Amino acid sequence: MTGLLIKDWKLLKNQGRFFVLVLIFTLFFLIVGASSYTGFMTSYMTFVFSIFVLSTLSYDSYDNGMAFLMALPVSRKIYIKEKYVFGLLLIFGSWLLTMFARQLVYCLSISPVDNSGLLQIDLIYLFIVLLFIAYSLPVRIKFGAEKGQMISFCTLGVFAFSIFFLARSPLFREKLLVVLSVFLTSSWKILGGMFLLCAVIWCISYKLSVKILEKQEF
Amino acid sequence: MLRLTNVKKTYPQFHLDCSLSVPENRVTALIGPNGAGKTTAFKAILGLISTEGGQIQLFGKPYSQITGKDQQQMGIALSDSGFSGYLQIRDILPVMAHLYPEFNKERFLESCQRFDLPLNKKIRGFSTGMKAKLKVLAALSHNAKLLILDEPTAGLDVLAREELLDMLRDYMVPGGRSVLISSHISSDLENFCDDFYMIDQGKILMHEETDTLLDCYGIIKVTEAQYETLDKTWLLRKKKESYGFSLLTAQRQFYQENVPELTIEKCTIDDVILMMIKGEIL
Repeated sequence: MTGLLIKDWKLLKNQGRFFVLVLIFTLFFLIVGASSYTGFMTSYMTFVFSIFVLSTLSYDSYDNGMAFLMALPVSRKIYIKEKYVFGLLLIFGSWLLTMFARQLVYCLSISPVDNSGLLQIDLIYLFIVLLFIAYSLPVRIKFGAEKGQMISFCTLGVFAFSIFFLARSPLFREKLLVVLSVFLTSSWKILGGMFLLCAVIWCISYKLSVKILEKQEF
Repeated sequence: MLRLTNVKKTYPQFHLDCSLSVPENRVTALIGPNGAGKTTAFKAILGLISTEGGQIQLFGKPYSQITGKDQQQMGIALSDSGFSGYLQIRDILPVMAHLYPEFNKERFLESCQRFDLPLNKKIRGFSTGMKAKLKVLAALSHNAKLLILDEPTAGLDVLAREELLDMLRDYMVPGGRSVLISSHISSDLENFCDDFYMIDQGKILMHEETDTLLDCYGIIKVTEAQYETLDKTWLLRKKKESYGFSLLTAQRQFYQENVPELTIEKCTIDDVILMMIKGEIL
């Protein structure tokens, strides 16, 4: 698996310019935009870095590359395991990096950031990204780069629009706010439960991906 | 090293039923026209497709018992697939080192330099020939016991082809190694392979030693009248020509000695492919 992790790391490094730009963009908004953008920037950067694990699937399939990869001394199970490990490293790595950048901005007092309640919001963003990747990985593996990308982003769009339209109903909005306030009022037990649920979903997603890949022919 | 026994795979308009064997210290070729089933057979060997019947044995073990360590003993170059085009050669060095414990980095780099392969350029920017060279060099870089090479010389000029074939010959020198190779360039195979299997429409039509083919096979050119009186015992195929028939025989000497007035030519692998596939069975 280490060989595959190195391969994906090298692919990430070869796209270095793009990620440096994302980092600069994030830092800029953290400094200039202050507290009004911090939540958005955390989710933005975590999201942009995390979806790179999906991009590696496209890079692997480029020019029928999967046939060669599957002929290497790497089982299909190990290939999938590596994608999930790489995905977790990217998600938590980028999330922690954003946290660090925000604290740095705060400590240097370049722009005062109100940290109260932010960690809960960040954890909710982290939870959403984890769910998105757990959903998108088997979809991408099953349907390939282009179709899979369309399906996963369409699902995300449908989900966002549903929330947006449902939120126009006062009754739904009221209930949504109650649910959010429960999360935001430091209910660590609920947050813990969310991440336990996330772990279960990742396990299911992983098993599904292995099954899909084991049936595929190259 | 490798044995396929009645390996079957069915696609909507194609059926593979293949048996072949690659013994130790041998270079075996799989030849045939486009769409004959060469790549399907290679994919079956590498586990890239599921098979519906038959047995594949690698290093004396059934395929289901093949481990990662066994796979490390195989060097692979596929005609239509390789490392991601978004990587550079310098990127694949640590990848290869982790996948293959016996990866010889120095030798690999030396070979890349010899074949003018840039280390810091993305593979997708390589020409077809450069990509072909890289695939073979990677397959040769980790002291594999068995090489599986699908069209390794495709897209290479004569000089590069000869250089690569020399490297493959050197690879065989220590012994205990084998190669299964497919190629459209018959001259490569005639000078390099010990034996070959001919495949068409998913079936093995012929298995022969290369030396036997070059020494004993022949094309007899006859008029219709000559054909009528000819002893047909040692004829394999007949093909209609403007002058009469061309006939494939595995006993060239027999006809040269017994019917000296006939026009009999030596065969190349291409001639045999053409006659075996286009010719009429006798």
